[in-house]
Parts: sequence; structure tokens; C-alpha cells
Amino acid sequence: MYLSRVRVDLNGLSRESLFEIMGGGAYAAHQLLWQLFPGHDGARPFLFRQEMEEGDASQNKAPKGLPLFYLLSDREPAASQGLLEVQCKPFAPTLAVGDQLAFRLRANPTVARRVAGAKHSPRSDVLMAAKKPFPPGQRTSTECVHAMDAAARDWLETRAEGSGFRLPVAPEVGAYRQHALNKPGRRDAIQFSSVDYEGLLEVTDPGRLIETLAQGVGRAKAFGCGLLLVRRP
Amino acid sequence: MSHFIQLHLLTSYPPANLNRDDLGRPKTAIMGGAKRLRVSSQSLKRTWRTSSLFTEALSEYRGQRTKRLGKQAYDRLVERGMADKLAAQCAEKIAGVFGKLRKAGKGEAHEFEIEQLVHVGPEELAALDALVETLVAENRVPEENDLKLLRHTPAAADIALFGRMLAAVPEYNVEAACQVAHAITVHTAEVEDDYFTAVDDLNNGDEDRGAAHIGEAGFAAGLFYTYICIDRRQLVENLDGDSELAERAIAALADAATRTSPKGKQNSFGSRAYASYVLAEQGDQQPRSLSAAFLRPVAGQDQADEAVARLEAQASAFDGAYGAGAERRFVVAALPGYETPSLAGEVSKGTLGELVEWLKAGR
Repeated sequence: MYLSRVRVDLNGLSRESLFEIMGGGAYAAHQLLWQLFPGHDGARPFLFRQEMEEGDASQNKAPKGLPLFYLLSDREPAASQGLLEVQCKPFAPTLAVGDQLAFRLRANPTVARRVAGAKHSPRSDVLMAAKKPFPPGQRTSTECVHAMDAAARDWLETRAEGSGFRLPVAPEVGAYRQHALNKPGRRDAIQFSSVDYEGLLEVTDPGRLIETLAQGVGRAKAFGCGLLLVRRP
Repeated sequence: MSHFIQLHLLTSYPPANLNRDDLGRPKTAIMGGAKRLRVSSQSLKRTWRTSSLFTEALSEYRGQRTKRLGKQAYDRLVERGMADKLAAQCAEKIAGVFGKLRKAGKGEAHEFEIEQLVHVGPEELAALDALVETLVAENRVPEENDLKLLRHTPAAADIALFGRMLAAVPEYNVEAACQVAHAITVHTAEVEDDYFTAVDDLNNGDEDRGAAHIGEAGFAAGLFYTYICIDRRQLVENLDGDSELAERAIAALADAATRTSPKGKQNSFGSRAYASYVLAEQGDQQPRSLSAAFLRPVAGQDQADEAVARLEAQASAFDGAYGAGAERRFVVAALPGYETPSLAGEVSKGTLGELVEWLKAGR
């Protein structure tokens, strides 16, 4: 696998797509990143996460506020028009049981629930579900925020074991966002939510965790969710 | 008496206690060309003001920060049997004393809220209560004379320490006697980039880098330097010459600042961060922060010990350049392995309780 850090070239982008990406338009970002895999035809070979340039003078010259992508792919990305700079590193973690890693994850925390008579199990957002019991006036109350945070944590907790890790401490949860994307040619907006996790994990099954890293966690992976970033603390 | 008291704290905060922006990202600052985590001074002050330590120590000598004085008055007037319409007129006038009324939006019930939070002291609240009684008894709107509710020097320790600003009636502003700097980490903050940079460590299974310091909460956010400066003369003046109360306020602040930490997000951590190291200074010399000690970020394994060594070295360097920076110093250290302060002049070392006594002795 390869982990890349991708910056955007202002000259190679149309104004529309730049504004859309800067406004958090994950669909435009998704299209842009596909350009790094020309001629690839098949399942999406990458996971990504969009961040913002911090404009840290000591690190780089890119102005603050521009989009910045982290990209995990099964092949090396090709340099491309419109993408200024692709720094790429081979990604082959050597992990052992008991290793502790700091992690960051932006995920779409949904569960599929069977509904009697329906052909598919509709997916629902666990934070929304936690918010529902509260009357509209109380949705910003501490209790409601707690319930939503707890739901987000439980969601990750239940996935941890099957993904090859455990959470020795409760992770931080934040930046819960609702996204609505307009895909050209679609009548309705694509809607999904995302939440950011940050914390410490402990490796319980190295092989399984590497699979998890490759495949991502949860859904909405085409829109910048699911990339589990890890580092030694 | 010593004119200035300065407190320099090194505290390790777990991530749960960080001050975050509206997207949930920890607040940061750039210092010495490197990114640091930051906890804003507003957040720190609020933490201390609302801490149980502070409330117990200063019980009745605390103010209230609110926008809702008008609404409270309105509710009480109506409860006591005043007609709604008259009560609304009274409430508007009363709220107007403390600030500009916020316009109620379309379809929004009038809440008699003012635009900015105002910090009011106990006797100001008492005057307001008395006025409500009078208005109910006489069933009238307040006159010009009734509305003299504000005091120039409210007997509230928190207002005296942190000051207050009344945009509507600036003559009742109180000059803060205590300045608090934003707390910043002595080391660089982790950013997403670190996850990219750290891939090499991940690939070669290099286990020996060790964690910088993993706090008791399981993963560490950072070791923060906090600087607090108290102008004792200003504080006594703000409290109308009540030096007894001033000393109580100083003691309460020292206690709260060293033993409570912000809870950016109340969650499962329930963490309590005590300062690992406190350097207190008293004297008439011009105050100065020692943050220059951390212009170059601290790196490596023993961040806490390294940070203390740098802080003391910086204090000594200032002493060498400008003469002694304080008349007396006192160190509280909760670091295993910390022996004696490497500072010149009169330096004592002891417990937090002894520090509080030492502060009192400087009055």
C-alpha cells in the first residue's frame, strides 16, 4: 500500500471545482483524486481524507485554507494535472500484538437495521438516532450531546474487535457534520454524515488490522470517510 | 507589600480537556515557527471561576455572568402579581441598565436579553432584588433614580480579578487585576501531517521511540505552560481596600489554577490535571512571562523535566540580564526526581498549602 499527501494546484483547477472542493464538496474531491489513477477501471483503489492547509510557515509555502488530502491506495498514484504535489510513501506497517498506536479516523457511523417487509435494510446514522428521543428544544443540551458522543463511541467500539484492535481509552469524538452532495445528473443530493475520532488503539490482531487499514472503516468511503490514520505515539 | 505575583505553571492536559474550535479541532497557535496546542485564557478563566474550589473559597463574594437579568426580573415581577405589560416595561428598563437589549427575532418571545454577557456582583444583585420588591409594592415603572444598580467596585472577587467591561456604561468597567496568557504546549502539536511523516516508524517496527509522555488518561495531549500575573495593588483597589478579601481571592486563584483544568468536552475521561510544576514569584519588578523558554519546542522523552530545566534557566537568564526578576520565589514540584530549584536569590520549595501561606505573607 501507499500513503500519499496530496496538495491542489490552483492553476490546474477550474474555479468551480476549486470552490466546490473548498466548500467541502466531497464529490468533487472524489473525482479529482480519481485522476491520480488514470486508466484504472474497476473498484476504487483508494481511501482518502480531506483536510485543510494550515499554512504553517515552517512546513510549506501553501496558503492557509487550501484543501489537502491524505490518500491510501493499493498502487502508486500517478502525478496529474490539477494536483500540485503528490508526496508518496510505501505503507507497510510492521505491527505486533500489544502495540499501541495513536489514530485518527473520519467515519460515517451508520448501522443497517432490518425492517420487516423491506427488501434492503435501511441504514441509519447512529448520532441522529441518539438525538431523536430529545425534543427539538433540548438538542443542544449537554445530555443530548453526551448521548450522541456515546453513540459515536459505541459504534467504533463494536467494530474494533473484528477490525483487529481494541480501545484502551475512550477516544475523542468531534466535528459531527451533515453533508449533502450534488452529483451531476442526480435529482436528489447524496446525504451522509461524518464524525472525527482521535485516540489510542491497541493492536490485537496485526493481520486483521492491516486489512482494516486497507479497506477502511464504515461507509461513505467514496466521500472521504473510513481512512484510519495510525502512527506510533 | 509585593506589588506583583506571577505564577508559571507546567500542566499536562489529556485531550479531553482541550479547548476546541467549532469543528471540534483543538485550538492551536504558532510559536517559534512550530505549531502548538493552545488553551485560551477565556477558557482557563472560566474554568477557575466556576470551579468548586473557587466557589467554596469565595462563597458570597462571587459575581454572576449573565445576559438574562431582565428576564429574571420580569419573571419575578409577574410571579408577584404585576400585570404583564407593566412588568415588561420594568424589565426593559432594568435590562437597559446593564447593556443594550437584544432585538427579539420574528416570532420569538421577548426575553429581555442583553447583547453581551455582564458580570455583576452580589450587592448589585441585591440592589436589583430590592428594586423588584419596591416596584411590586408601588406597582410602577422604575424612575431614573431607582436604576442606580451598578457599583464601581463590586465586592466580588472574580470581577476584581478578571475585570469587567460594560459597553453601555463604561464608567462601571473594572480594570482586571489578573492577566492570564493563553496556555500553550512546550512541544509541537501533532497534526495530520504527523501521520504521514510517521509512516517510516510504522514500517520498520521501531518500538524504541517511546511515547513522549502518555498521561494517566491513556494518551497525552500536551504539557502546557500557563502564565498568570496578578497586580495586587489593583486587586485591593478593585475590592475597595479590602485586602483580606484580596488575599482570599489570590489564594483561591492559585488553588484553582494549579488543581483544575478545562473540560473542553465533558466526557468519559473525568480527568483531573494537577500542575506538575509551579513557580511563583513575588516582587515589585515589572512582570514578564517565561514563554521564551519554549520558543524552541521541547522534544524527546523527558519533556516535563526538560521543560522545568528550561523554565528555570530562562528565569535565571532574565535575572542575569535585567537584575533579579522577583524578590522571592516559591516552587511546588510534583515531578519524581526533581530535587532543588536552580534559581538564584530567595527560593523556597514546598506544598501547595505552603505556597498559599507564602503568598499571604507577601501582602
